[in-house]
Amino acid sequence: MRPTELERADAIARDMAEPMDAADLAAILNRLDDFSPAAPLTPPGALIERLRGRLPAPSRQRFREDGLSASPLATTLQFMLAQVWLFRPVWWGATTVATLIGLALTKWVGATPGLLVPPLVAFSLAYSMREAGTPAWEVELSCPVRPYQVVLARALVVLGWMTVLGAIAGSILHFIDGWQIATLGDWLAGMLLFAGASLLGMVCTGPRLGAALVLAGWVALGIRAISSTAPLHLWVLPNTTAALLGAACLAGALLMAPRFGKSVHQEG
Amino acid sequence: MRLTFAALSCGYGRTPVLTDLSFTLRRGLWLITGPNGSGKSTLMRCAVGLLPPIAGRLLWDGADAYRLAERYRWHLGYAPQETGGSPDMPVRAYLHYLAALKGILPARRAARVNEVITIASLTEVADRPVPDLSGGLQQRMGLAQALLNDPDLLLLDEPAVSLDPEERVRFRQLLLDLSADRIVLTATNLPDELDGMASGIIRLSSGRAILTEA
Amino acid sequence: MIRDEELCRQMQEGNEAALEALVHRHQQAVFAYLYRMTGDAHTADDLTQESFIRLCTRIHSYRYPEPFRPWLYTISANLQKDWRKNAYHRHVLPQEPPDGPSPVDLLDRFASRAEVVDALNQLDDGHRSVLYLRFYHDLTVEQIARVEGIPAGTVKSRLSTALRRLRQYLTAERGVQNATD
Repeated sequence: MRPTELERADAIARDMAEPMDAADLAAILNRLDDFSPAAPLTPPGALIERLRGRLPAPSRQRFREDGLSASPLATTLQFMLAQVWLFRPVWWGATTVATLIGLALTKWVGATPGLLVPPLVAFSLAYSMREAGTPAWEVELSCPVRPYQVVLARALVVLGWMTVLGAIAGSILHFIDGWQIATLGDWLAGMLLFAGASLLGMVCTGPRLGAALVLAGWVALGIRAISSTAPLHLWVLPNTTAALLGAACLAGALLMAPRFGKSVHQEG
Repeated sequence: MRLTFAALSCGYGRTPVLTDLSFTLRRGLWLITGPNGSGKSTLMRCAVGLLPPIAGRLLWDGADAYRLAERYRWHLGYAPQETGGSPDMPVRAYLHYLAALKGILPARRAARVNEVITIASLTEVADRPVPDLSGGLQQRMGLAQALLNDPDLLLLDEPAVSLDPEERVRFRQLLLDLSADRIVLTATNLPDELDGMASGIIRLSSGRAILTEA
Repeated sequence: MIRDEELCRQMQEGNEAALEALVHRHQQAVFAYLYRMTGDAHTADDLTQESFIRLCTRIHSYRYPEPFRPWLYTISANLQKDWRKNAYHRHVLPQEPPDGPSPVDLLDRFASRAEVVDALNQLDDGHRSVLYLRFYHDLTVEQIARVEGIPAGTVKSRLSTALRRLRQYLTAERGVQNATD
């Protein structure tokens, strides 16, 4: 028997509830090969002609099925990736330049690189939420996204990029001046703290006012640090505490995300 | 498909602007009319789900639209009256972005974006930044994005206010075509232009609404 | 090659070229299944056409990326069950085409086919359908379960039963033939 016949018999045998002798099974299957019908009486072309015009108009279900059949994680990832487009080249460039300027200042003034974080984060989050309260924001909220998904996605883009900038800044300082990589901890903790505070402030008061309040707080801390003649450290909290507090503020902002951008609309 | 306003009251905060809205909309073109300040945009925002009801319910095919949340919004497309706030990106890129928010898979996006650009006659400006567009073009942009997911429910708030007369004629025909197999609800200050085509008119006055079917 | 499931999506968009591709790919197989189940070429041909008509009119109910072949065979299986319910039909032996091998060869082959068809005739429709879908159309147990609307375990036991009975009948036939030769 040809090997393929045995393979075929094996495949069928695996799907049987009760075993059968392999040779017997192969023999039966060979006999079944005898039962081969001729071609259909209607040629394919004639069948196709008969079917023409029976297809319905394009279905709009397909878009919903696309979305509804995707897992929530896949949907959220798709939204998040889309948010990256909202960050225009001017933002990527400005934050990079600001980081480099800040690095120079750090070297001359002797401050921790974390000094740069509050303005970078606050401005970046205000930039990311710049359309809150506008008609464009209404259009986005009319899409099948939840407000917290949009806020979270944009916050993650900002935090992700800030982390990359922090890693670059820390690496440069490490190679130039032997700074410890642990300074990245200052950067990350400050980033979480001020990101959380910024977002929470923005949810409660709007993007611009929220960012302004956070920056005012940063300036106040800076003045206090300078006036105390202590080293220019802005962190009044240990890194871990700052990070946890920031994460808590972020979570609060996400929970309150539906309030984002509410403004008095003109009646039409 | 049907959209039912079941004794719905809506407004901002706890202050109702519209009270006791009770009517059902089915396939066709439905106009919302009323003087300035009568609540047309409020009604629109309520239908989109941007304003939670103060009382009553909004039902989509019998199910509570607010409970459905994003599952309801899969069915709708919305173009607000005002334009503005759009990011500084080309029309085509912005439509791609919104197509992603509407859950359209990457493999389908390019074709669908091209389709709505053609429907809304935006081909010549597809590569211009959205904020640089004139008022009329931005309104056409609004229509294009509302059509991206080929919605069952199309909500257009004063969609023709910035269009010139020739564009308005074309737009009327487009609305008629679109309403053949979906619910089109449009707020308008110029009901006479669409009166003969509409399945019904919702007239707003003193916080109430009266639906007159054709 | 574009997958059947993607062609279905294109059909949902009104793409007739996608429909043509699916007809070319699957008409023969659907006809073969219906021919084996009904035993009559004209009936099988009519039911094949009806299967594709229903495919078109029900394309909206297709949910991507659901496997296409089981969906198509479900339509065909339901059609042949309805046909069977409407009248009592005897299983008709398939006819050979007029031109072909020599009369002696024809008789031999015909006799062999006739034996197999007779043996298959001993099985009830449920067992035959499972056997055909598994052997001739390579559907998996799970897919056959979906087409027939039965549990996977029942598919396996029907397959076993069908093959066991076939063996018994064909062995008995050979015994009778040997005795009469």
